[in-house]
Amino acid sequence: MSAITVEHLHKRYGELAALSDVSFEVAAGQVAALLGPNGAGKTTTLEILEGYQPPSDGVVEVLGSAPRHAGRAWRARIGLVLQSTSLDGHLTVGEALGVYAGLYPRPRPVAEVLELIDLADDAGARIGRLSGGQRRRVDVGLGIIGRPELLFLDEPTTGLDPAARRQAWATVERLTADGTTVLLTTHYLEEAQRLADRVLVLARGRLVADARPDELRGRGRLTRVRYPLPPGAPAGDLPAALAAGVDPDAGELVAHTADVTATLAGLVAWAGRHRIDLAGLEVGPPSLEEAYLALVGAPADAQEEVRSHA
Amino acid sequence: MPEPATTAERLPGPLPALAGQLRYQLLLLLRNPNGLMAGVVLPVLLLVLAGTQHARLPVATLAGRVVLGVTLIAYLTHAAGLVAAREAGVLKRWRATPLPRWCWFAGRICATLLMALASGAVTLLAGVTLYHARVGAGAALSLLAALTLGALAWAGVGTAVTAFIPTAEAAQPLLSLSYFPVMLLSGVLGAVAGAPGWLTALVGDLPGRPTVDAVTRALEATGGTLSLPGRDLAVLAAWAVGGLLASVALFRWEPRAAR
Repeated sequence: MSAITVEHLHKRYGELAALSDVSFEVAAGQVAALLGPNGAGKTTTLEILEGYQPPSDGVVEVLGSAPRHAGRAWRARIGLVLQSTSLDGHLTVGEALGVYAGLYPRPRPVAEVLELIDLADDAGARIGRLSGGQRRRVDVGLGIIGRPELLFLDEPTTGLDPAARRQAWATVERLTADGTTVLLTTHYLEEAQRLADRVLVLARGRLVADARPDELRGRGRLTRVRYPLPPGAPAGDLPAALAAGVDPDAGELVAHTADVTATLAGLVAWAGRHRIDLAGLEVGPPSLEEAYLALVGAPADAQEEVRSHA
Repeated sequence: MPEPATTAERLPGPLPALAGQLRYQLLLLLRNPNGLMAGVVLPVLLLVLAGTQHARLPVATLAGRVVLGVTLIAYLTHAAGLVAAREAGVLKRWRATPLPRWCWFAGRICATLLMALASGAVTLLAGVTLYHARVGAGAALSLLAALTLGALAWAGVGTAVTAFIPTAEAAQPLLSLSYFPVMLLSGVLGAVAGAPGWLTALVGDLPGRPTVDAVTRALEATGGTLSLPGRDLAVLAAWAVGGLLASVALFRWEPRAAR
């Protein structure tokens, strides 16, 4: 069963095409990450799915309804965390959660949400006095207080420190374990890799990839060769193709090659000449970040080439 | 996927939702120090200043200070709060919840009305206890009607005006510019002598002068029954209804430059 169905979605602002012929589905219980550079159309897509904006053309169904015309019962089934913090600073955390809990037919207990967002000790604190990271967690708390079947997260961890980000990921993982469908936008590839079953990549308003994270990584045409150089290794004597990939600061070489055999042969010959052990050598597909950068840099007409529904 | 709510787990009805909104909006207003300063401290301060000039405080002076506090909360505090909430994305989030929109508006305006009436009561109490102002024995009902209608008129207009305020920073100057000239010309701090006839007529049709006149008449009431000038009530009712209708048509839930 699909929680979200998008078919041939277009969104135009005057002459500007913000979204062009975007189609995808998100199954119930799935976690999908919407990736793309700034201005790619991520937030526009999310706002159409949330009912804030009408599509210019195409079909959009969320939990079986057209979001723009859905009623109160539909809104009780979704939760959302907006891109920027949107809170009343004069309320305490507990008061804000209590007010929102009163809007839903089957809310989570406030105490449970406080635990989930790790703010149980700050329930009585005014929101305006919290740190940016804590306020972001309150945003997440308000998004999940109604026990949503579908949760939209628009860059939920932007601005959080690494520890707070990992905490937010743990919260999302606990929600998804309950079967909540999640559509999130993020700039962090690590976040998509960790949380998402599916990755949707938008570039210039077009969907250029729709795949599992590992599938996306495997799509890179080049193989990645990484070798941590031992101290004193004569990097200048490496074959030219490998020498170009040496990063003296990181003390490693990273090369992307279409001819793995020739590249490894060159590296092995160099190591043999200088009696160097190749311990730590890695050969594999590119990272998700590398695959992503290759996609968003690709021409728009590459969409058909790379699309493959998970 | 979590199970959808069953028929036994219905959405909260309108009355509980409205009660929750009223409680929430009252909390916000009570914790807004700027609003309390403007609506309670300023009118009492100006009352004290006026009291030093009179052996016994004239009813019109007390009425002016009461109306000042009530309308400051109903217009300035109310509208500035709406703009701040809209620009901070708070209203956008509310719009995505199952709360009916009318319920949000009703809660907000009821809370503003209650705060405005409380401000009027504080100023009135200060006038009676500090300066032995004469208040007619039957003033309560007429006063409540005049202040309620005046506050609703200003709150309705204030809600509609937010559509034309582009940012939170612009709210205070634009609201002050549209409020203080009207109120000063309406005699809230004393009668304005020498104003041209056309200006006096214009001010009589704005919601300031009718509020001051109706409250003055109410404070003078003695019979215990409703005794208010019909024209003033009609003008205030027209502004209240017109303001609310304009709000329904013009109100924005999101910042103008959302994208």
